[in-house]
Amino acid sequence: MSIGQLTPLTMPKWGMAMTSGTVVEWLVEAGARVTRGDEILEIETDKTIVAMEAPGDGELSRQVAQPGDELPVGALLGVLTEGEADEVEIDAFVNKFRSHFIPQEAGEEVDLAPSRVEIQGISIAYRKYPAAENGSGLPILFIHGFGGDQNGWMFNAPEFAEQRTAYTFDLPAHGESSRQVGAGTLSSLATLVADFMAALVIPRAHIVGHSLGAAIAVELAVQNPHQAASLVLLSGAGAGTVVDNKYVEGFIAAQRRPQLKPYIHQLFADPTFVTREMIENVLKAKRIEGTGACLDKIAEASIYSVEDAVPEDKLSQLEMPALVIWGGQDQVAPLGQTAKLPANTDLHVFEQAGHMVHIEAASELNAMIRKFIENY
Amino acid sequence: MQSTKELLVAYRSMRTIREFEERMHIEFAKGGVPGFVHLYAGQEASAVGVCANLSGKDVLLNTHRAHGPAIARGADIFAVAKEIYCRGEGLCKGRGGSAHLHDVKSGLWGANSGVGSGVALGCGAALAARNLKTGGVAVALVGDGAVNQGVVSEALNLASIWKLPLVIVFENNGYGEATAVDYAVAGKDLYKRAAAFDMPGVKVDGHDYFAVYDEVRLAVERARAGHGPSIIEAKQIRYFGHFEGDAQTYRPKNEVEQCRQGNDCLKRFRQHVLNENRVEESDLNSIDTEVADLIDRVYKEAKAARFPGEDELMQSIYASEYQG
Amino acid sequence: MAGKTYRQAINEAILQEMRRDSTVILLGEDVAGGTGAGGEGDAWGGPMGVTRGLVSEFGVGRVLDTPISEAAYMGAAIGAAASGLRPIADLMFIDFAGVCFDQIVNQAAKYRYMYGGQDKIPLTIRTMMGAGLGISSQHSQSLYPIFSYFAGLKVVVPSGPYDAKGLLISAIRDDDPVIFCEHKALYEMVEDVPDEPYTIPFGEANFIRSGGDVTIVAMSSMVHVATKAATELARQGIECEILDPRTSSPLDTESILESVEETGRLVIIDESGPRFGMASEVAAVVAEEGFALLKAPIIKVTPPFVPIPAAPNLEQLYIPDVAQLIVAVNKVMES
Repeated sequence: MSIGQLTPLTMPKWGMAMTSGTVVEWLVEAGARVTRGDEILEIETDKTIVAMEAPGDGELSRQVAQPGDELPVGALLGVLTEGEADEVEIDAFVNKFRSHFIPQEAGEEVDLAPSRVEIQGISIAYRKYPAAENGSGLPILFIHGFGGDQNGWMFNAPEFAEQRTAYTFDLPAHGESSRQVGAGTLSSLATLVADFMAALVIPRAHIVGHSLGAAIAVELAVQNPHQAASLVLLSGAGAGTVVDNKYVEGFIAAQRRPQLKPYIHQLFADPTFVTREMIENVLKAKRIEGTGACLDKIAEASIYSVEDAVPEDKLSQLEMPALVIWGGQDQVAPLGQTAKLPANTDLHVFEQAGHMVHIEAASELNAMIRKFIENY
Repeated sequence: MQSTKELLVAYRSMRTIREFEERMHIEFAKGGVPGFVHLYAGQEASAVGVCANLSGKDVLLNTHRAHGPAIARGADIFAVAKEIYCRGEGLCKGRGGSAHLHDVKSGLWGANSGVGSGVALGCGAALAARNLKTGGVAVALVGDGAVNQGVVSEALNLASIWKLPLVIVFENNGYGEATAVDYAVAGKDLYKRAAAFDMPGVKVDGHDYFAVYDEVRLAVERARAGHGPSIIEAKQIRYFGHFEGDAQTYRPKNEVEQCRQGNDCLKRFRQHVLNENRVEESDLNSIDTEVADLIDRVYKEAKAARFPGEDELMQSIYASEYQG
Repeated sequence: MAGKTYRQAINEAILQEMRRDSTVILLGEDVAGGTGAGGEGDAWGGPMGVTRGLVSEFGVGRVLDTPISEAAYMGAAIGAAASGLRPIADLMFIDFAGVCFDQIVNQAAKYRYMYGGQDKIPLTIRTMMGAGLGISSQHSQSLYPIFSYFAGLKVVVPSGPYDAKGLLISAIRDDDPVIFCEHKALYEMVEDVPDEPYTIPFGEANFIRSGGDVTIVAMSSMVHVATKAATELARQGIECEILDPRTSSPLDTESILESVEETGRLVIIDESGPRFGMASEVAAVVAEEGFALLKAPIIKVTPPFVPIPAAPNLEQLYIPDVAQLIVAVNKVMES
């Protein structure tokens, strides 16, 4: 009998729509030692290549999947061994896994539908990624940007569940939340997020906000400092950049794929991230009756008029630490006006990323956030 | 009973149709009228007797023999002529021509080359009038030839089971194109088909304005009151061929001439109103003069009018966006 | 958002539009079912139960069972549309268009243009098409290309529940006559469909799958044949791009050409006939406007030139399938 611990490496599920992935390349030789968090394997899904990280420490004792293999979510990719294990044991482990593995059929996905909670009369769609058994860290809450939805966090939120519970949700009039926005101001949206946290019994969390979501995060922290353990502000209007109004107007007006496409392209430094499916998903949300009017309202109240806001001042009032992250190639809310960040604020720029820094630099950004919040 | 004023309006309408069609017969032979035309001369009492009972909220569904009913319904006669000449300012901008005169603002629908379709379309107009509570009725003109189309039987049944505010006028001029009613219609009496669809059916002398007027009035009142559809068969004789250029060799000799002499609807109208002292003869004579002058002007203007612009070819195909 | 069948999605679209707009009416054979009979009303909702429940909410004034008189009720729907109502006429099977063809193509399609733009005809004709149920030639044809021939009509061919709801709401709100063609083999298909009303514009293709090797154009149920074939072909290393034009009139030729520009190869799979059909039309568009983009001749995968038989084995031979599509794709890959 061996005393080794065998861990299956399985095809991850990045995003609700993902049913399979294609192995691009092993980044680590068979037999090599890896440490938790090391990038070990590149996987392509939905035209995007993402590195899979080692779930623990050990030896990569078997590379089961080979480059080019397209495998369903949950399929065996390799085996990680901690301690001693011989080839026979590993073979048996692989065979047993395979004989028990039933791939999920497309359309049969278990938790495709998000959960729902009613906040201020608005039905909010959200997802909870429960912490792993030992994950006792403070929860982390992600707030997406204008015109986006919680699926934009598909490469991020699940990656934090090892240590802590992660939450994503759709802002009012976005994704699958209902088409009502109340006043649509930053302050009212921040109150809604605070109420959402209260309803889900999240007294305190790390708040990650992207773009408009970053502005909401700052507002939330100002209103309820105790609820935010730390702030991570991505490409955030709240950190001092004025968004191009024409971009927002054009985005709201676009009803067809060819009209919308250039706006989605501008979100990324690397246009190959933009898939037709991504555009179709944005259109799907925009098609729902009432969306345009709600987006107009939010834009009027929270984007076009934020010139008067002085987020640096707001940030400097705050006691919790803040990390500001920017894409160097951001064409929507370009970097350049963030020079005067207060002392409690760190700035990091991913030079090669655009506005959607959390998608374009997902692995590095996840690691950076993980490291940042671990201190608090 | 109609007032003197109403009678003069009716007479003017009938006289206008007669003059318009007699002139069209001459002008068509000269060339310059695109397509083919079906003249209504001889049948004026039918359309005018019907339209005298209709208001603005009602709909008249016209047939391909369209000029007379269009004028009777009050469509702008200059625009009617221009449409027959396919000019840009015609009723339908020159897209429809003679057989498709249509003027929504006058409550004139059709005309229709799908000859029996007016009854089905009329069911829809009547259904809408009922659902939207406009109080309107629809009147469908149907030629004796069209009576044999399946859609007519289907629509009569539908109108009856739904008790629609619809009046169906079978204008029986004896010929479906060049085929006689006596041959083509089983049972010969068109109005008797009403019994099969459980609605009233009557036959009137289509050359007698007053008979047509009275029967249509009853049917329209019945429809408006929510009691459902009726059929009126108006027997009549057309003075010209199925279309202009029809040599009419199939018709008995003297059929038209005898009618013109002894059974002309305009002559009978005159006699009737003069015998009963309901109008002054001088008023009728003035109308004759005025109408002759009007028709001169109508034809002169229509012939001088512009054709539609070439940029109009692709216009108004769709009411909404069509991308691709 | 919840999983809904094609049937439920269509029912919900009609329900929501009838609630929103009192001028929307539904008429056709057995759209309620049981009218005038001694038993229960709202008995059918059409032979597939698609419109069940509507008469109970809206009453017989707005949900009208018609006699078997397609010409009459289609004409009536056109007349009602010209008079301020927004009718949905249910033509139970598209094969029955034969008996009301005049109404659809000579009345509805011509009404606006021929009368000089005086009118609008906001009419939706819902109809069922497609083979696979063993009901032979007079109940199984995919005749939608015939209607796509006519200027004045729009033709919608939804391939799943999401598209069905959004496209049907668009159709009902559209101010022109729209032929909405439901595939009878899709009624049980489930997909996420938002609970709220939403509209999908006509003339915008949906990219079902991205891939760089071959463009497959597919509509209605053939989209699902194409998806299965593409999964199989991907195992062989061939990446197919699947485009569902969603509407055959208007037709999104721009997206088709955009895809062919990337792949250089085109296979069209369609359940309408091999001649003068949808596949021929798409092939013609690409041959005319994208010939220089092509690396291989275009292949059409269609049924054979034959009426549709009832015998299940023969019917299966008739309907284009995954194996035929794979053969076609492999063939275009040879060049």
